Amino acid sequence: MRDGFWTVIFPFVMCFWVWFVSRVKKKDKKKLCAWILLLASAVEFVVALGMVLCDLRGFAMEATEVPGVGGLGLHFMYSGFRGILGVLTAFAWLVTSLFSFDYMKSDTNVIKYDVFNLLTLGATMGIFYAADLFTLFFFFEIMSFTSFVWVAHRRTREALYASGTYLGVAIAGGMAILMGLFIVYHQLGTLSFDRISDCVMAGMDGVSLTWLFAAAGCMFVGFGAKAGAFPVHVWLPQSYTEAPAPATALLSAILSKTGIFGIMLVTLDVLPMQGRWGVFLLLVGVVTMVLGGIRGVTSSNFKTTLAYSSMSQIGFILTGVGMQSLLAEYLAGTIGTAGLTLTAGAGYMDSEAVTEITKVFGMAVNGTYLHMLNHSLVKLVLFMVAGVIFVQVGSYELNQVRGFGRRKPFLLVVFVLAAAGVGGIPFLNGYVSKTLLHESIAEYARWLELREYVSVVSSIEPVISASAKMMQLVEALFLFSGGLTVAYMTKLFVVLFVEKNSDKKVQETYDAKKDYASMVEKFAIGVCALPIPFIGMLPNLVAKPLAEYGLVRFGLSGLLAHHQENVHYYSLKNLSGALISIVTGVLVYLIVVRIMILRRVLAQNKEKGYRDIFPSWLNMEKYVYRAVFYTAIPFILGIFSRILDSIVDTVVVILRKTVYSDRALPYELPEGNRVTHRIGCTMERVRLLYYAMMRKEGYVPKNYTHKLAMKKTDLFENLRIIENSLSFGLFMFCVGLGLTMIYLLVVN
Amino acid sequence: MVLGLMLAVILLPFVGGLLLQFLKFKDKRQKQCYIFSYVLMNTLLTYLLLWQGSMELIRVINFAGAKLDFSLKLDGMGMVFAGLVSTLWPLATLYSFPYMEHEHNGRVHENIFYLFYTATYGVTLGIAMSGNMLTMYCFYELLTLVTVPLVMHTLTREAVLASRKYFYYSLGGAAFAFIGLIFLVVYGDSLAFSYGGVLNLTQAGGEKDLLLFVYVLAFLGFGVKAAVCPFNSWLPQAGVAPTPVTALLHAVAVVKSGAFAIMRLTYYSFGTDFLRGTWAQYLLLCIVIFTIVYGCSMAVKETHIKRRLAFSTISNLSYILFGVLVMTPLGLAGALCHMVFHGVMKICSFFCAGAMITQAHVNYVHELDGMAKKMPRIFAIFTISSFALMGVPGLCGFVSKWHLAKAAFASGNLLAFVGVGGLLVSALLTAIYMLSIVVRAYFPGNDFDYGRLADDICDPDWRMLLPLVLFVVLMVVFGVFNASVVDFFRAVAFGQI
Repeated sequence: MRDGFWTVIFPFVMCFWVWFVSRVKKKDKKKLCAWILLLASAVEFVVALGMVLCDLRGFAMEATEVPGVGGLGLHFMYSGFRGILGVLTAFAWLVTSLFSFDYMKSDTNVIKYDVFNLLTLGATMGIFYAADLFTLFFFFEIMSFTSFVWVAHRRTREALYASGTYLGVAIAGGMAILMGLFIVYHQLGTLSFDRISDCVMAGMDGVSLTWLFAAAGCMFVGFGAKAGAFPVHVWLPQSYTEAPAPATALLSAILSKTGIFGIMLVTLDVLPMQGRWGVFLLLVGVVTMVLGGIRGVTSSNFKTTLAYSSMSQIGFILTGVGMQSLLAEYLAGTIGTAGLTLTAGAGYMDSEAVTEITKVFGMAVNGTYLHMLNHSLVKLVLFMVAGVIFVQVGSYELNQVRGFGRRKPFLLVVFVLAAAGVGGIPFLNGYVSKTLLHESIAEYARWLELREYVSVVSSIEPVISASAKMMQLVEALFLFSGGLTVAYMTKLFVVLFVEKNSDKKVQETYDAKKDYASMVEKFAIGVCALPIPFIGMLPNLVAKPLAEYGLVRFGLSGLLAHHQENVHYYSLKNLSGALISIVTGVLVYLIVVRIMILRRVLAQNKEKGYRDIFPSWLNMEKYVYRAVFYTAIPFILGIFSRILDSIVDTVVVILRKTVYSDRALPYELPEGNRVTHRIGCTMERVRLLYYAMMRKEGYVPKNYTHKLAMKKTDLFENLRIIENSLSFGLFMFCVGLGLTMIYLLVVN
Repeated sequence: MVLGLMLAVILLPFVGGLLLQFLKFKDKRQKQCYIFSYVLMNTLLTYLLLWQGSMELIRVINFAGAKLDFSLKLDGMGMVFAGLVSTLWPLATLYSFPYMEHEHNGRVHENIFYLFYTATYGVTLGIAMSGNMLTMYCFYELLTLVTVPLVMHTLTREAVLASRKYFYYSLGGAAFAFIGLIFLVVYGDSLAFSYGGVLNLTQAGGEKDLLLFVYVLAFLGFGVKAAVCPFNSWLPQAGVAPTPVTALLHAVAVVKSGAFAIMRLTYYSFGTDFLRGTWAQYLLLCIVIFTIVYGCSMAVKETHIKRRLAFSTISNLSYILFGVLVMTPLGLAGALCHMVFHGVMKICSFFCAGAMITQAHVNYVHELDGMAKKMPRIFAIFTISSFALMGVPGLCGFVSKWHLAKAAFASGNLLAFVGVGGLLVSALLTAIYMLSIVVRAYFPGNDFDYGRLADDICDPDWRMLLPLVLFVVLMVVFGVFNASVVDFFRAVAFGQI
């Protein structure tokens, strides 16, 4: 029981309660439903936290199995990493349901929101506590569908458009994951995470690496789509912008992490120590973080900027995952694959090289992991702030929002904490995780250049997928993206708190607003903002144990546990990295935002306003995905289909026209019969020909058909008279006799 | 005793339908009770037969020649098909009562309609219980004859055209199947179905390519009813028939008879050992995989609700044939699984579509905007069946797709791998064409004026809802607790039952 199974089931049960209440109760049902949501989240939080505490106290966590469901059965398990993600999820749900208590008050469809919120909570828990890929996929699909309702919630045209894209990407991603699942199952015969890594590590017979790469690629499409990784991120900006603020906070803080969680599992279990996969992730991560950053800087919408910021930060995390893979490969190359399967404390552990590499590897893992937590906290704060602003302003456009934050100290404090936190300013949380990631990249690049630690133990030249040049480029882009983060956060800060609204009256109303957020909302935001400086100031006190606990029994934890040293976060070297980012950020802000984006657009008083300068024709969603899936593919398939559809009919038609051509339908002639008609027509034509050739004068038709018809009538009339007469009878009798005579003569 | 029971379940629906023409009823309620009672009776008798388990071949009549028998037999395959049909028929009959009341000029031919509707029940059971190829061929032809009047029922120009097309296609297909029958008479040990095939391999040795060619012909001939790609266009057109017909016959009984006949042909007559790895298998796999993707693509483009579902059926039938063509017992198990599960899912979605048509008088997808508010139950059920068809885990569609894909991978055939890709692409397209209906109904947009919908649109009465609810229960049960069912299919597919 102590493995998260109940945290998965509980929200589904509560959801029935909400549904029941909405059916039965007439009055105040919205409020009651909101309370149920809050209660459910609180219970989840307590239970998730309780599980972590139980685990710390040494109670054994058992694995639960629900046999038979969906054919393979559902399996749940607990590990430190899952435990902390579970707590984070429950925490995020708790604060957002607190926040939505007031935020969604005026919404008419709030009960539907509550129901799907609970369903998504259960599904997300299911993802994090899943013990095999099938369970993960099962809940991933449920989560995709239930969170679709969030995006479509506002039901405006834009929201429906965005939700359509979201659903399309989610389903396509789900199918890609399923394909990956099939391949993994076929190759390894199991889907359980423990056994997958065992099978792969042991190098089972008949397991082809190519197929595993194909599987990982398929799964990347699905998980990466949910995370918001580069080629499949197209749904993200619109959906984040259109969903209601608490839902966006959850989408960004938790749901994107489910995608990352999936990618991490693939990286560590299906393709452990495969550097090529690491290079792929690194490339995707870098493109995602740079592109997200650029679009974040150029956007002119408050929430869209935050959405792109999410994408960019996911890029940082993916880079971290890629680094894990590369460093694991390096480690394996150094001490040989066999060494890794041994537990910690074996002979290899003593060498200086291994100590150094595992330390850096630990930094990559810790950095990734901490950045996930940091990003969740920061985005919870920022999206809730966006929600507060939206309620008051009614728009997310920067030109409208401008000046809203002036004389609002609470808003100022939480916003600055969160924005600077994610921007990597020293003494806040983002600095810690970004430093760890940066250090791991920089160290790795240095080793590659100097060829240090290569084959210290084993004599074979190891396979290293990355090159020094590439890693240096990645490092530079990493710092540049950090700068972009600083730049767009500065942009938002200046818009909110420094500049004044171009409309004086609006600015006055903004300044007068003191009750812009209720106490509950402020509390929800404040709770999320609190850990931000805490993690940043006391990294070794908070970050290290957290990371250590989370990594127990996860991946290559056996090695890690012995090489956790205090990292000197505030050494000169590390601070200089942050400084580069900040300087870049300020430069980018000054050049791009102040000069390129702020142009005269507000006609009424000649003031400078914000505008989106990203060229609209680079819209990948519209001009690549929609164009391909809505226009190109249906067109091509349509042509094929039409042709095939009509094959049989065409054959029938051709046969009808040739071999099986019908006789002409008999039609009534006005007079005469067929013979007279034919002969008459022929005679008429002959006469016409004769006139045209010989006489060369005006043709007067003789109307032979008519004449012949008259003749025929006469003839038939006569014949009938004859037939009816007695003499005809006698005549026929004679003929008969004659014929009989002839017959007799011939026969005899 | 057993033979009597078999003949009874084949003939009872027909006799009951005939009596219906002569009996006088006080009101329509009494008549409906009568119809329902004999259909239910037939189902119970069929269950009694199924209860007794599989049995040996029973020869009824011998025609000229030693091989040409009319014989009946109930083995595992037949049990699966008979069980599916006999479960769905009473429910569909119950559903048809309110539907036919709404149907335009339904009153006039109602008795005739029910005669053929129930007679088809007996004929379909006959196909399920056929003991040899000849018997099955006879019932197969008979099935065409009794279903044509059902398609023609409304007597509109379209209906007459559609029924003519259906008739020609089916008879043409049967002619190809007949060629297969003749070759089996010549080259087989007997005509009776036996697991693993009846071909006399020593005799057939020299004529392998010819026999493969005949197999392809017979496959495509039976495939006409299963709507394999070039021969599919009768199915969407036959959608002009009343919904109980489209749902039961054109999603389950008739089309599944085609698939069933192909299973018999492949596993019980020609034998997979003979066919596996030959050009015939690859050619047919290509055709079937194409049909899978093709049916879905056409469904996405189609805007008429029933025709869209018909295209979806085309695609899903080819899933079954794909499983058959993998030519391993696991593939057959997957095919049987999908045959049963798809039957439930598709009849459910068709019935929902029928309810939309009778209650709201809509025929096209774009007319469904905002309808979910007026008909919440129907759309909730339709949503579930959509998810099931897409293959969302937890519902039955996922289970059968899983088994199909697993069998395909296990076979190690490269084309089968491609087929799994086809299955997934098709699942994606299924999501598009099913969910576009669902999304329209639930999220018509903020500016949608609900006043535009007529006030009298509401959920239908219990006779329509009860079958639908039962189908939903079946979909969930098959999706969640399916171990015993799947084990049974597997036992059948390995020839143990």
